[in-house]
Amino acid sequence: MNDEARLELEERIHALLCGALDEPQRRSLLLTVARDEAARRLLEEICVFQRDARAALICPADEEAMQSGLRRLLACLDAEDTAPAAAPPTRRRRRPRPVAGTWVWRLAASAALAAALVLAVAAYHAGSRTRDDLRRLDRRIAMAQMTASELATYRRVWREVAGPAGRPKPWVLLHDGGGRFEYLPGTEAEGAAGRFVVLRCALATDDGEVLERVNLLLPAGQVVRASLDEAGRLAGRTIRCRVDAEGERVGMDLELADGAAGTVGIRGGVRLGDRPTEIGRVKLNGRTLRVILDARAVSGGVS
Amino acid sequence: MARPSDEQIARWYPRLYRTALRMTGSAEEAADLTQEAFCRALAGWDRFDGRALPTTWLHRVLVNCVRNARRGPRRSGEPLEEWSLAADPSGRPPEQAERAEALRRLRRAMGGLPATLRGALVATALDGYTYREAAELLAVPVGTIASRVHEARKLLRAAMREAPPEPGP
Repeated sequence: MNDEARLELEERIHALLCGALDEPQRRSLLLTVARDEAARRLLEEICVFQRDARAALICPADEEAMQSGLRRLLACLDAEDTAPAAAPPTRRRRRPRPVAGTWVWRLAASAALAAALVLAVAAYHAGSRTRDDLRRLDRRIAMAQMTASELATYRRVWREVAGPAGRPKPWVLLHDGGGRFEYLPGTEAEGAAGRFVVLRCALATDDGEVLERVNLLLPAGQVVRASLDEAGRLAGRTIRCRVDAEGERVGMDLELADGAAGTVGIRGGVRLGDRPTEIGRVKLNGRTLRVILDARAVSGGVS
Repeated sequence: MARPSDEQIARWYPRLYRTALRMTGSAEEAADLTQEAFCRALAGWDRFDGRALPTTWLHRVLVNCVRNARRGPRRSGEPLEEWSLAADPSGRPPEQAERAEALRRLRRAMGGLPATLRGALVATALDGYTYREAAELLAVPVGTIASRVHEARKLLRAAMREAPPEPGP
């Protein structure tokens, strides 16, 4: 690789890490990385350098403060948007029932992007001397706390589903690029303005590969009990969840059920805002899977 | 120009926050100033003519907010240099000490880079701007950013190989 080609590749890799490539550019670069040993080494070098430089010069504990700052900003902008002088008060009101296509497609696009990244990383793993570094990279992707853009997506989904105040409280299951929701009978929600909880349950291997992930949106600050007979599937088994949320604590019973092979399950809980917490491990087809819960309270905005 | 969506704001926020954090050294102040910068920029969004990238414009507004804030009384906050390096929770104590030592050496080496190289490196690797955005911020061609970042990494690699370990804190 000559100097000019190397500089151009460095620029593309950096743009990838900035999330600034469009889909064809990303695919093209990841294909190059998967096929070319020198490109893999360069990606590894840039990733490691960026991680170290940030660790050396930026307080590593700033992630939560940053997320909190972003939430505050979006809430502030929402409030400005809906102030009488700025916009009619109905501006944020949405149709009472969501049309699944609008947000399901956005989620599907996100899932496709995530899947493309995971596949690319898997390809990058194969035949590479950088296996350990990539495992760390993959672990970071998989195990990272919810990102700001994910939270923004959840906020939009919640606004769509919750609709105006006075409706029953909903819960929303987001899984595998799609979603479904139900309303809790005999309740009245504060509408889109209400806070809600994002509960994420991840089933991951010991080296950080996430095999399945279930996201639930629940109304916050209330007693919520929801039972999901099919929250997802893993290795031919149905994932069942029972969620029990009250105040700052969210509990979950999780089962991997198979009529023929029996059921394995685990029970645990997390407090809102805690870091992702491993509530235990289950054995499935000879593999040990970590069950990780992460729960956050999110402001739905002002309706 | 259409006002940015929440999604765009969420995408731009981290790098601006990091820039503010690096400039102020205080997480609280960084969040306040980033919020102020966004609010100001969005309030005057109709004046944004689209000739620069939105992130570049936001960066300039942020830098002005930080400068204005520094003219007033200083708020409390830990100076960046006094932050302790975080231990890797998965590492054992000797590994943590080695890692902390390596990061100290890297910080010292970055401080010793020529200003032009350091500026390009900070804008891209730390603040998360693309080469094109960094080129706008620093008013140099994209190719210059590419060569400066490349040169900076090369010098740092060499410095890290040669630097003697620092005495412990």
